[in-house]
Amino acid sequence: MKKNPMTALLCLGGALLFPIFFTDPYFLHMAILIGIYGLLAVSLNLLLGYTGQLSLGHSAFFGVGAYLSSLAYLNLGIPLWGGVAIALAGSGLLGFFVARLAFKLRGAYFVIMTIGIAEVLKLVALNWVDLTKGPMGLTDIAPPEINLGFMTVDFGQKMPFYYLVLFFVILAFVLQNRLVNSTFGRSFIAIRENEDLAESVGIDAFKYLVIAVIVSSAIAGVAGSLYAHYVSFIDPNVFAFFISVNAVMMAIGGGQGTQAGPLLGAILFTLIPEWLRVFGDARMAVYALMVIFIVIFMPKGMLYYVTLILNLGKKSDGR
Amino acid sequence: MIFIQYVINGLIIGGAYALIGIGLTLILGIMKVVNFAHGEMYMLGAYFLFTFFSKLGIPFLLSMVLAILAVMAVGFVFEKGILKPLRKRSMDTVMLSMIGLSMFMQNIAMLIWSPVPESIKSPLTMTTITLGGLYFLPQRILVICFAILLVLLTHLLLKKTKVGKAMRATFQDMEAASLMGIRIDRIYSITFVIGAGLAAASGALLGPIFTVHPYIGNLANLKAFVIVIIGGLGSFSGAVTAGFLLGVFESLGAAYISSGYQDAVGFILLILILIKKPTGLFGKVGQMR
Amino acid sequence: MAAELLRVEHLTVKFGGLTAVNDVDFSIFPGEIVSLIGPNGAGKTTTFNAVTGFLSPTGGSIRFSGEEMIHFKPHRIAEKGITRTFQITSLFPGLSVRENIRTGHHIQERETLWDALLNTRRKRRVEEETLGRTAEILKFIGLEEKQEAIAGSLPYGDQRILEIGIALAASPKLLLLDEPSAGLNDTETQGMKDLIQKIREKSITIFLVEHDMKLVMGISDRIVVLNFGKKIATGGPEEIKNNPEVIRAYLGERKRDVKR
Repeated sequence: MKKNPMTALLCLGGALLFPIFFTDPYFLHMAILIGIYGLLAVSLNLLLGYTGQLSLGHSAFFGVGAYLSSLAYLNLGIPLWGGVAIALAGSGLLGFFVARLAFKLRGAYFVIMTIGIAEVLKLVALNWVDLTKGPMGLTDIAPPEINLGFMTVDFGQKMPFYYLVLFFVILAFVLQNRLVNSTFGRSFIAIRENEDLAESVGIDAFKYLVIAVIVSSAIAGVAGSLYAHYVSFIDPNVFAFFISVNAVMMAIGGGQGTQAGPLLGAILFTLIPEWLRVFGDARMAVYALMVIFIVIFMPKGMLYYVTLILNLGKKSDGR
Repeated sequence: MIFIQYVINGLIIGGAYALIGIGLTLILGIMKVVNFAHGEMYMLGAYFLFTFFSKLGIPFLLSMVLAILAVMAVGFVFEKGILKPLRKRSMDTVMLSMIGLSMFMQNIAMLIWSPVPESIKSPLTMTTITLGGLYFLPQRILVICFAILLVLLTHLLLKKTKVGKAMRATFQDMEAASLMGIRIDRIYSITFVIGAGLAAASGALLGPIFTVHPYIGNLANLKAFVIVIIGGLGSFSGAVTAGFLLGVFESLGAAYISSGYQDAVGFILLILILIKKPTGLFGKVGQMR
Repeated sequence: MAAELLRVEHLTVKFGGLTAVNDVDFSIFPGEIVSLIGPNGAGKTTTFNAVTGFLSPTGGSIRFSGEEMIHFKPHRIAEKGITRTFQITSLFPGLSVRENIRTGHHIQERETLWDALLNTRRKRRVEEETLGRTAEILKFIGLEEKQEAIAGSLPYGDQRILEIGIALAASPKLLLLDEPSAGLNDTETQGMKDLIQKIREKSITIFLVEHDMKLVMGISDRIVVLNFGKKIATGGPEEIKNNPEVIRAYLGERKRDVKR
């Protein structure tokens, strides 16, 4: 697929202008969630799409980011900016330990480890009531206000928060782009394609996998922090398995191993669970069937099929 | 004295754990399928028992047997309908499909039965037997007896019967077994059905002790994997040992440290084993990639 | 006399009860083409794996340019200047031919996180150099026309050549080839022979495992013979051809085959 800077610019323009044309709070709310989950999707894409390692425990990093950021605010008065930094560092650190622990284990072992870690963290959040208030959760996590002299920007309003999230999303995509187009990205891909061969030409698989996990977990932590300050309430359900599964679906459904895939996936898999509400109680059952369908019949993700269809229109230029 | 009580309780629960662990070991080892829906077989075992016994009034022991058979039938359908077509696909695809299946089953269970936790009032939970200062729910005695029985039966199946030998051959080397004339499709079906049955037995045994709700499969599944990894992939005796060990450690952990973190005991054990001896207690096989 | 490039002493590799490589000694001098031969199961690939770090030997010493390298990990050994091909075709199957070779340039091309994130001038310069070198290697191995093809879809003979290209990309001083002519027909084997000689002309020392005796005899400066994990002979092609122990080792293998 030819990378087209025009498309990227168009998307960027659209994203920047979005709140001006769509002022309905519901749309903004969805857009913000798409942005937050988009970060999660980028984070998973780095790991699954590029190094080929599946993690079903990314809710661990998301949740840790959410809790660290919230606790920093509630107990130490640190506002969002600091919270994001703390979440990034904390989740990254957790990622480091997970990577070192799990490096010897690949494939299914790694997956189980990641699920297990998310479960343990959920139990900690439930039981360490003194710190996390257990199942009651943490409330009143307020987003900040900035006083610029001529106006105050209240990030408690949807539009400013949207731009805040957009800022981080753009940052994440630039980071992804830079990594992919560097020896880091090439090493990730080499490890995925043939780890022994990669080692034989000097690629230290351990080092690059750890880096991939740390970057991935740090981004997921940032997503968690933004989430906490947006919904202003979190409980142990931030560690829910569903978040991990949905994140994987975003990476796969969008198109793993591509740069635009996570964005498409985030849009799809933030909106789809909402649209499925028409099914009432059967909502999650239908979602589960979708998961099975996509995994079996569309493993290359939407992007692949969309580009196929688009290319049917063109004649022989492009790939 | 009370320490022994905890240990014995732990061994009892451990027996049920061993069952679900063996089931997964068979499926994982012989079929090389990462069966994330294994816990849902456990869950269905409990729910079918609930329906047959508490709702339909069928005698308790008969209900148990029927529940196990019913889940085995469900397992057969899943194997033929989903796993067989996916034989040639990657491990990730199969894994994620099974996760989707597990989510689907949880939600279907929620629709069929209800998200409200149920309890199965087995006739064996109504009284307590006292033996030398220790207290037993008869249900727990049933659990350990049934568990040991099933472990022995499975062991005999594997060691003494022709089918069992074929299963072991397939475990060692699927292609060689196939070349020797073993019908792999048939072996896979049998393996999955037995695995599902063992998980269902575990669920039916523990159902009356704990409450039953659509998500009990989650934790059961994770513990099954923990048991299989700690015991060593592909090791029958490893799974049995790890199952009992997990039961005991959980019981002691809940009693002496904290009951809230009881379910975390398995993971802590898992992490310790993975640091010290990644191939598990009895493991010989290498990593699954 | 030039210093040894690779010196292997008392190399021993045991797997549980089995001794695959038993107290093996040999040296390789710069500019040579040395072949490692022996009947099936003699321990040749095990030796290769030990020298390239894919196996941790039970004992012995492996010195490269004087530096002890036993127990080094493969990527470190590659950094020091030894690369290899594998017995079973080993490529990056989903990537194009050009990308495969480009990936081989990792050691020269790798950058710091800083360079990567900021897309510095240094990074872009190194990238250009790498692409240049990649083009050279493509021409050298003769796959220039097919550089956009996906590696996994190439015909077998081209795949084996591509493997060598990837190993060359890492600028080795010593190149280990594991059965380069396996599965190749006569024309392809001749092509392989020419390629190996071209590589030697670039001052790269070559160490190969081979079964094709014609190729071995035609190309080697020296030959090391293993049988049941032990070194039984070493010398030039003529000596080895006529060495009674070597003949016995191979005949013994054929006799075993006949009996079955």
